[in-house]
Amino acid sequence: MSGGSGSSSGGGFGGDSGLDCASINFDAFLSSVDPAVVKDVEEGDVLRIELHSDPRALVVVLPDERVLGAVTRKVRELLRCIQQQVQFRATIKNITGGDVEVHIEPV
Amino acid sequence: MIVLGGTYEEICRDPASIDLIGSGQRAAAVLRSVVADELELITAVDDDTLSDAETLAQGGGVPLRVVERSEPVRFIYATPLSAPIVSGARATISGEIEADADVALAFGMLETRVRARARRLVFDPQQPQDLTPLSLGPVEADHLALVANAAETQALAGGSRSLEEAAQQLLAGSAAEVLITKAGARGALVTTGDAQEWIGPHPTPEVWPIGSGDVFAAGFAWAWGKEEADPVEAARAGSMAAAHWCKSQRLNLPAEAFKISPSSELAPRQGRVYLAGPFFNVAERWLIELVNESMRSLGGFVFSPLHDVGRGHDIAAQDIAGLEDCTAMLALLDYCDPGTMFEVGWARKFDIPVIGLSQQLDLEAMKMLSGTGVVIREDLSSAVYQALWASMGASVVG
Repeated sequence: MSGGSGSSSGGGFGGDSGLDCASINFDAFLSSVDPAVVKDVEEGDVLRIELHSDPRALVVVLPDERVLGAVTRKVRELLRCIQQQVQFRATIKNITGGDVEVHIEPV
Repeated sequence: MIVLGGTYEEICRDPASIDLIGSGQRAAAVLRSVVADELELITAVDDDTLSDAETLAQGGGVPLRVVERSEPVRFIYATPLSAPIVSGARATISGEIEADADVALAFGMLETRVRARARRLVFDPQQPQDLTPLSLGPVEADHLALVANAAETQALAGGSRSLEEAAQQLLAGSAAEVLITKAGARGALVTTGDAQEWIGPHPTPEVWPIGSGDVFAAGFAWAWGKEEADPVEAARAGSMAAAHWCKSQRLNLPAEAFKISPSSELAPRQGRVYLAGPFFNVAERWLIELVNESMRSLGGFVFSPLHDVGRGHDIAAQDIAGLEDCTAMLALLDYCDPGTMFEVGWARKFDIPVIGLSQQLDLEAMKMLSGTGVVIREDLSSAVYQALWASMGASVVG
């Protein structure tokens, strides 16, 4: 198989079915944003993404462990890569009211 | 409000994408902002899928009721416009996907027949192939609305008549009081017992069509089922939500995404797309076939030199005559085929809007194209939808 990706973002498959975790990068609006936490972040902040168990969710967390919101886009890609010990970060792109858009990429 | 529908892995090869979602998960997620605490999703998942399904639903704040499924189900798309290959099509479930609710949105599922009883019920059969009127049961409602795509409406009506006639016949033969027929780039046809009305699409620069029908159904179900809006206005809410999904792939749509915006609705005029591109080898012909078939199934009219003129040496005059009868062009630009470039130049000279699909275009070629107003798209589905909307009178957005 030859040829590069024509797409500027989105991540992809290195082979026929293998997931290329290193190339994953995309923008997403967070779900279940905590209004008490969103006032303590600003555009450009770089935050961790963690898998929490109760409730089970991929969440964006602040350095003080408070949860900003959950990632619901490309969950399966992210979970598969996290199982392979790949860590991801979320950089805040926009905050509009309670709406938070982040850019997600591997650490 | 209860949503009944599938949880499936959706894989797209180009652009590369893998996600666990499906109609039920997608619809429930987008409804979260407008339905809030009364929302519940009933779906089927297997052991391998359960934790990911919970991560998705709980992350989006959607309560989940799960019935056990025998194996994973995957829909694999070569492109967002391609018919999917289904893996796990023989999956079975160990219980019933059923609900008794005030308001419900039910999607047909691969694994089982959905059972639903509601005061106001929206049912989307989700079965483009082998569809029979029996596929509509067993659902019961005081007020039933069907949401189907054009192929489903034609199949259920059982004949090759016009879409308007097929919709009237399907509605008359069912227990539904409303039938919404989604017609791709053309918009949607709203059919009730005494009226029929088209609503236009909301063109967006980028279009990710996988799942857009689910989001349309969700928006319609909220407006018609929950808010008890007029069917036409409810279809407009569904169309708005679908447009937001197409441009953002955002599951947690804000409540504003459901609000009707008449100013962005296109009143489609009948036009025709000229499909310009080389067809010298199997890869080129495969792409021409895919684009030609996709544009026709999305409600467009197409002039394709390969299909409408054919191959040979003495084809130039017929091709150009066909081009001058078109209202937009979709040009397949990779590797700068001379014939295609000539056609693009001819089209621009006559102010015919041109949308170019290219993933390998060099900067030198770009100079003349962008300098004469050709809009370049890297992804197939956005290029196809933009060309269709341009042919129907929409402004081309660069």
